Amino acid sequence: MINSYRPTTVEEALQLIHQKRCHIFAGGTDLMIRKRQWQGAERKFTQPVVFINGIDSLKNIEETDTHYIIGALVTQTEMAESHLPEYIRVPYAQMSHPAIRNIATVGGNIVNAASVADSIPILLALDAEVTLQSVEGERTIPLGAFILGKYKTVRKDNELLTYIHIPKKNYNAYYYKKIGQRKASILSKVSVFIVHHKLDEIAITIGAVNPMVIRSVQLEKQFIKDHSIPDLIQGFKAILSGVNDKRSTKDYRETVAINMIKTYLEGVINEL
Amino acid sequence: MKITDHVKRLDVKEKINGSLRYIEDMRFDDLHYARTLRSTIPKGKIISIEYPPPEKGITIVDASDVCHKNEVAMILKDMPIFAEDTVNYIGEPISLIVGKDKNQIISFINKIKVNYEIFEPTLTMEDSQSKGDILTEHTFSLGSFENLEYDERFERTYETGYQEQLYMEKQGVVGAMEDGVVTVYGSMQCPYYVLNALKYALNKEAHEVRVIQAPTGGAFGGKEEYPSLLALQVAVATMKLNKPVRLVFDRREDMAFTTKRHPSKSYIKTYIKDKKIVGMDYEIHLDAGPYLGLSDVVLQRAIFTMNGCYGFENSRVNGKTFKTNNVFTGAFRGFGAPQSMYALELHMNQLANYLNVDPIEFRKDYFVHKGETTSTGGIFNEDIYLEEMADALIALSQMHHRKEEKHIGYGVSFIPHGGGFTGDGEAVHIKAEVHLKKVKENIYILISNVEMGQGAITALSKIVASVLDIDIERVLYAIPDTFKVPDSGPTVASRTTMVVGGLLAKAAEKMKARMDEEEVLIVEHFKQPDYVVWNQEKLHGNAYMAYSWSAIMARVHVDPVTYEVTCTDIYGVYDVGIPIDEKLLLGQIHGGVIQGLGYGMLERMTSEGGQIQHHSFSNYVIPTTEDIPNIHAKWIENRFVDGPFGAKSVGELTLVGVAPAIASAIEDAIKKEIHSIPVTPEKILEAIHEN
Repeated sequence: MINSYRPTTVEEALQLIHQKRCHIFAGGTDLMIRKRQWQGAERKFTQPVVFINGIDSLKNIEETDTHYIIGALVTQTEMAESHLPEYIRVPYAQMSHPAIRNIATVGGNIVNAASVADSIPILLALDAEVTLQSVEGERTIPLGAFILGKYKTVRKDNELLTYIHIPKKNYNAYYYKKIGQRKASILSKVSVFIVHHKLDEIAITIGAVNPMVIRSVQLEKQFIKDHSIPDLIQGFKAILSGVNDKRSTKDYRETVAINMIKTYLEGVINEL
Repeated sequence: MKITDHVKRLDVKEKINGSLRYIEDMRFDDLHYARTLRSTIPKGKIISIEYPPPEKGITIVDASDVCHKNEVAMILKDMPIFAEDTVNYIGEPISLIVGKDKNQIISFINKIKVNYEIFEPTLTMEDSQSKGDILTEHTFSLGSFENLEYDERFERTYETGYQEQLYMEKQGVVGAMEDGVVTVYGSMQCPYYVLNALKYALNKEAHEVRVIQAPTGGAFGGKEEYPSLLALQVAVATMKLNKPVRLVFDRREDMAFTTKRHPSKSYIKTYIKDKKIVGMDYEIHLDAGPYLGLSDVVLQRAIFTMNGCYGFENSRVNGKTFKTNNVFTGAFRGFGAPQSMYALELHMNQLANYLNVDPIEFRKDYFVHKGETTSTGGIFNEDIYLEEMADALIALSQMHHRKEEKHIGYGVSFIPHGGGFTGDGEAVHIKAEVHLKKVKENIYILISNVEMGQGAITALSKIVASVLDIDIERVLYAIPDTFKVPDSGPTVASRTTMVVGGLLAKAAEKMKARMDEEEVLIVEHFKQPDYVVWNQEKLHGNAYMAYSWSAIMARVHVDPVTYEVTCTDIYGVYDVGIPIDEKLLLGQIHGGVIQGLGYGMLERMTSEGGQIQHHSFSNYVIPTTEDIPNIHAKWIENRFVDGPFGAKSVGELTLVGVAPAIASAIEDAIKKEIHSIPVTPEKILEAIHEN
């Protein structure tokens, strides 16, 4: 027998997950698939389930002078339809399909930490930070430090991811392209996200190629200095380590990621 | 009503409002559920099965419960209902675990351990060939290659992979004892195939077993032969428990373990003299999996049309089915033709390109005509309008007004598709019988052909209502139930409208004179037309009664940065005799184009170590609305003397020509050859890198 709980406040949820190890259930779009056994039979949950989707305080998008603050339970649809900058809205609008976007949450996609998660390349490029709360206190850490690997994060069992902080920057252009096996309702086999302000400031991330999203601040700094696309490409090539799997090939992922970055930046430089 | 009137589909209201009860929704008293214990290895001997201690509420049903013969009667009887000593593919059923509580069943099944002696499996056709595991082989030829004078030989090899039917409703059956009769309800295409399998394995007479078709949410061939296996399993279970037993697959089970389209390899050698084809030599190999099933029939359809729309002076055709320990392959819309026609039509385009001639003009020299010889030595008895269709395609696609566009390519295909069973199959094996019954104001159609989403009820009711010139509401279709309807044959081979509809039209003609009577029963049997002469042993004569034809052109865009393909347009000109209903025809054309597009560029399904790798919606990708091109369709009228109102076959034809047209269009856009489908961006990159 597995117990389930429906807290309505963060404090209540923190108490529950402090007492014992629980499955934290936000939108459940990944958990329900992972725990299924047979249609009509129970899901194979081995720990108590805490349904957090009743915590209304985590469902808002707020902003300060310096940051957008996204509650962990904001849905992907809400992100896509929000007043956030286009370079945030558009990627969220391309995740999965409408039914999933209506229920899947911003926090869930991060905590799940799938290597093909589409929000992570965006948030990583934007220097987002996440707040983790527990009954013992709270900490806010960069997203890059939060994710350790495929499905691995530094979240402790008694911690709940509550907010995502996205710094406001003066980016004036972006490129986002996600490639799947078809045109819609599909997981990424490679994605590239570039945000920049002319060529004074730039962030580049590559998703779904390596087990973790690729970003190199060092390469970005160098590129701002020398505007050398060949050097940038050389730098990325050295850190790409794609795999052959059911969805694509190593060669395709790496070549296309490089093609996309190169083609876009060549266009930017030509326009300068 | 008249055949040219537009009608609303008769089956859709309940489907759209959700009130229709599929096999998974149907209620039975004291219903039990079954889950299949499956082999986890591709080949081996079962040494022992360690079941957990017996539990109240759990029943194991296996080969020992089969009261007569543990064999599924298809063409051969080589497949067991439950594996006994050996297993021959991953997923082969060993037993059913039956109970009322799904949680109990799943926890019981998770504790079962099967111990095997593992044998070396055969996982490729090459390996099968080297071991001599050819299941069937056929060869036929026209002319001779001896002393053939030619300048050069153009040789290519083509490969196609698995394709999954991916009907919306998964496989499902219920077995129940009703008044002492073993009764099977199920999602199926062929109630009498199932009945015959039950009669054989259980040693029963027709009045002791009964098959009732449940509403069928798509099939595409996937519910042709496969439901016989499931029906037998639940029949054995219900006989043991004396309770209704339901077996419905999970989607992953359905995708990983049920029949799919045969992977194929085709070898084509064309002999060229003065830039003209003087001979063509084909060979096609199909991976049948561990049991023959329908594979030899699939092979026959693949090879009978290997000459496509063309007459070549000299041709030789060879086809083989291979035994492997991969998943069991079977029927799927097109039935062998999608494989052979992909190879032939891509080859024709590559040849045209090689000879630097227009692919349509190039073909015209070889188009077949009425009175000419078919590849199997029969005679085309019908008017054939391939030249006219080619010209209509050129006009429809505005081919002569094309602008030069970067990264855009075009490809064409011309396809024949024979309606009904091959050769004399309709007369010798199927022997269809239809009943048309008048009771007061209503006319009942009594046949064993099913509605599976293709529009059969609407098309057949329209035929009867039009012959009788009555409102379509007065024509009622009875759900196929082997206690109530005669055997009008299976719902396969694009035969329902053309063959069964033809019989119903004849029956309705006889009914016409008796419309003032209260109760009338008209029985109509299939009679083979005189022009069909067939020798099954030599595969010689008329392979089909009549052919439908398609001429297709695809336009694609290939992204130069990501190699992603967008099929922007499909232009199609069709000869299906006449459309019984234009909307139904368009529905088939749209569906065929989409399924063919999936086959040609998206639906990659591979097997590793005998295990299907792409068995979920997240990695086996079928087209979404975003992937569907603009579809421009036209048809010509060319009435077939023995079809209802002149109609020929439709269903399969619409799929067959799409993949080769798209594959050729991609080649045209990237100026490279690619010899396998689906043509994924990964393959395009590989072809470009090959430089």
